[in-house]
Amino acid sequence: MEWSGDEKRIQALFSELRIADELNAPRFDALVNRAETAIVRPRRGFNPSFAWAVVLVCAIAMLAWWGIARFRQTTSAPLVTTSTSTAKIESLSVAGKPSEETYPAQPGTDKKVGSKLSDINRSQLLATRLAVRRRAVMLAANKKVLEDAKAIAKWASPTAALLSSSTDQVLTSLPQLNQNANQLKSFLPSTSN
Amino acid sequence: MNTENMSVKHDPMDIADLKAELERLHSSSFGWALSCCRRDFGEAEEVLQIVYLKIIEGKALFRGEASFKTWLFSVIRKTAISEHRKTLLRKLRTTILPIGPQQMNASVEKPDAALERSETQLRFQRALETLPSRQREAMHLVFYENLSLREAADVMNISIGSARQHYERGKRRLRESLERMEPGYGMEWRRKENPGAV
Repeated sequence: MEWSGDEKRIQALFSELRIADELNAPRFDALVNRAETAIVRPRRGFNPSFAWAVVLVCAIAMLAWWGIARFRQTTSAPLVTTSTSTAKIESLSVAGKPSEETYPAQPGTDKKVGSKLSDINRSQLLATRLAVRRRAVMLAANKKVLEDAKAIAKWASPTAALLSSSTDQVLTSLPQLNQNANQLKSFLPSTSN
Repeated sequence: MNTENMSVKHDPMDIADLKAELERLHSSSFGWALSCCRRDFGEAEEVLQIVYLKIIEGKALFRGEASFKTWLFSVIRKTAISEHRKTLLRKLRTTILPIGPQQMNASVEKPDAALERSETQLRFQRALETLPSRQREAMHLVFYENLSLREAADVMNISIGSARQHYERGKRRLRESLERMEPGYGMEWRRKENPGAV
């Protein structure tokens, strides 16, 4: 490549720069050795971004787990609150048990149909068992509440005896239509004079 | 230009050949790395080391589509760009934290290197710094590395027409900058340019 005019001047300046750079260039062997050492011993330091990512994933997993648990709680509650629904569940659980026995995959019959039916029955049975178990748990929890309610119903005030008198019967009973006058006298106020 | 391959490994013989070739081009490679790193000696050294590591590991694979020098320079250029991005990110992260003395010294030029530079050289370097990166690259490849415009275009991953434009504009801007810095210097530049020289 031939240079002319100002190009020659630029070329001269660049050549000067090149010589200066060559004097300050690091040794090739040193650079290659450092590069080869880097291959042998790869850096394995603490990576803060990786740690943050792990923490984030854990937090998301915990949130998801909590959300699922919450959702299950809310969906299972109405199943055991009403007595009619629990009665149905009980009857299902009773009916579900023999259904497994009524459809076994017997040798000689259609095995595929038998296995399919048994699968369906098994899932139904599992669902009903789960519901019954939930109900039992709920009932156990409610048992104490019921006992407390009974105790409250039986409770009587200790000062109730002070309020009772001989005319209590008059106040709490009504005269019958076919009662005679003598008997009716008891309902009249007593006149001493 | 697809010059890098992540999975292919070299034979021991190939590595020996590559090392010999790399050693032959070492000073030119360092000069080009310096230019790509805005004359930062520490960064240029780091970039060159990463490039050698890529080549030795087989991450950067020479397929013989261009000359070895052109391929090596394009790898250096790409590595310098990615390293510059990383450095910028690191700087952004450490804006709150105080910079340690080791980090401060990393980008400072060696004192003996600064002393060796003449007044004209310093002016010339300042003028070079004012050029846009593409123009500076084109100038460096043509004048410093004695590459043709086609080779320079290959290294810069652009068309030869664009490379020519960057070269012409860079030359004009460099002349103007030098004239501004040294008014007497302009007399020499007013001669008519010969566009067919390259």
